[in-house]
Amino acid sequence: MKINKTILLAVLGVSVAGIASADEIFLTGSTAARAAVYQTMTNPGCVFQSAPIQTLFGGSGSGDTYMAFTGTLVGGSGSTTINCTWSGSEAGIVDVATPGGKDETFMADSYWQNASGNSDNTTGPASTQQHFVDVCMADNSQAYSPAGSLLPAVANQQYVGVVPFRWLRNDGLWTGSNVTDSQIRQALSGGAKLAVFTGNAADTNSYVYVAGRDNSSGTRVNAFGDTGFGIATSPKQIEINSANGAMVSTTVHGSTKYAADFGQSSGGTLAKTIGVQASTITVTDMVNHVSGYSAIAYLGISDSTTATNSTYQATILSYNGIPWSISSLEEGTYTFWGNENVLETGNTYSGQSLNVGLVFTDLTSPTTGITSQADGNILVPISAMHCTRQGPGADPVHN
Amino acid sequence: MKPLLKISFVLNLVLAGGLILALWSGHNRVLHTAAPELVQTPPLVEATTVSPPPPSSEPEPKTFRWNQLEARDYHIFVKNLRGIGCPEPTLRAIVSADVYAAYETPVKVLERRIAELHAGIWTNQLAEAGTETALKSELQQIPEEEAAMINNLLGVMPAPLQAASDAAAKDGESEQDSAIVLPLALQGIDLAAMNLSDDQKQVIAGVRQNFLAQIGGTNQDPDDPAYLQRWQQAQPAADDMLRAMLGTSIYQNYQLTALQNGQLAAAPNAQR
Repeated sequence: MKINKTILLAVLGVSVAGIASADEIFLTGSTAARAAVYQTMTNPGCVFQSAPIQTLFGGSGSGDTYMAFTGTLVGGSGSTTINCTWSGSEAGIVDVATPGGKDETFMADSYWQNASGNSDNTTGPASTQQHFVDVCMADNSQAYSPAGSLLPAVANQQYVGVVPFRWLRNDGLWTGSNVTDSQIRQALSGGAKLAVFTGNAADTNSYVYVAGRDNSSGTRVNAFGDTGFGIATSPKQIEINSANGAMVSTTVHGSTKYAADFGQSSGGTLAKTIGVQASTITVTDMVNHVSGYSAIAYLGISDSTTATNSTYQATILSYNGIPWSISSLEEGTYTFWGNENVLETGNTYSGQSLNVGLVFTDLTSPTTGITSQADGNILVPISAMHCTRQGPGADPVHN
Repeated sequence: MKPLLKISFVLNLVLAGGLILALWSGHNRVLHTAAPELVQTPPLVEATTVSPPPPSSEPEPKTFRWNQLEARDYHIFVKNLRGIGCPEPTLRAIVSADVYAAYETPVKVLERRIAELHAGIWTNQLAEAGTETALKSELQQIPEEEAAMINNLLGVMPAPLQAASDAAAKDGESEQDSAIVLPLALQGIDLAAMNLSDDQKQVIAGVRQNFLAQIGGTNQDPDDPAYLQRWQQAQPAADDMLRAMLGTSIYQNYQLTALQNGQLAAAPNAQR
């Protein structure tokens, strides 16, 4: 009996040591902030003391869907892994603010545990795990989250920069270069007559729709808030087939719909569908049953660049008469942008890393955190902004 | 109109009328229009019995007495009325009646002085032209003051009206700068009548919750200038947030509904 107990304690000791050595923190949230987080994670002296070992899946470099970084934290000791997936801003807020926590899908630990050096895989990991979330990135504060505003406040929340967005149009019947709030609101309501966009009285037989994101998206929160459509208002958006530009259907209460409260789960997918090289001039509009349609979409900078590159053919639009530029955003004339925040969960769970707070501190450091690593394009540092606002829909006030 | 709604409406009217009469008949409560903390003595209504409470461990139904609602602070009186389930329209009717009554004397005084000026000889009228303009201006402001006070008293928490006045006097701020505005989300709107989705109702609750967090909760000292500052920062932010959440169209309907209910006078900067 005594021997058995000793063996048991020894086994327990090994197990506990095993857990302790596998110090792991789980991070999710905004896809728009992904590149900035990647830069902050990999630049020595920001989150990790020296360049961490990178284990990446589902893309390339800063665009990967699954990321794990292993190294010694700035301000810490021993080895810590930050396991990341990009669920979308809204999903991230709900994950960290829901009492008891909600989980997301991360790469299995075996990938980074067995890594001998950096690895980057274009496809997703074959093995994944469901896990609670410790830290999330969000394109708006918790108060502006439709699902998160009524949840208990997270333990910590810090504004770290501004994430710009753009409106784009596809290769459809409408060939304009500017879009306004009122046009967008009508289009989000299930389609606006083309005449509203062209000003041509004859354009009443075709429609402009919004191809958008699902309700896990922070880009969507900012698009709906900034245009005055309403963050909590249910839209009627379309989805586009990335192969041929056809409208995609969904089922709502047993009936087939082509304009509904649905959308793409990632900006990358939306970019490919709005930029599809298949003109929708002759494609059937399945909502109003006419020939041809037009679509506009909202995207982050990185995804909008994809939608307009040589493979795709979307067009970037001015917004309320203001052409996109970083300087017009920094001065507050271009208003389609969100406040990027880092949120730390107040939840605790068995086996949770003791370094969650330290990672939050590292990410939000004004000198070495995310804002210091912002590229001024995909994420604009706080120091570059000459105006501030509380959230989408509020007026930017010059400093 | 649905039968139940009709019944509810009629009952509310009857109850409101009864309560107003009861309060007016024993009107020894004093409302000081210049102060946020309103001195109140109990209305002279005794031993009014209402329906017994639902079955509980109590063997005998308790007899309701008006003095259970008494409070020196009018805000607490309102809270007590809410506590016994007084319907919001009835509550508004009670508070409005008291506020109008409190302003009755100042209004009469102003009107009498203006009338006296008119009755004077024309040379005096010329000399007093500036005085008359000031008196008329004061008189015109009273409906707005009444509306602001009603909103204040019906608010979730006491608004620092006096603190605003003091701060404005101290800092030489304009009247508009020191105005205390109740966020639109906290105005007593019947959300059911606005055809809002559950999600939209939830975000309104979220805006209210966030506003309360921003001002530091409900138990605040109305004379604290820091509280006033927090309120003045949080209120426009709450209105911005409500508009972003609901969208321009619903937000405007919300404002119109508040206007129809006579509540928007205290929210001059809500329209953008």
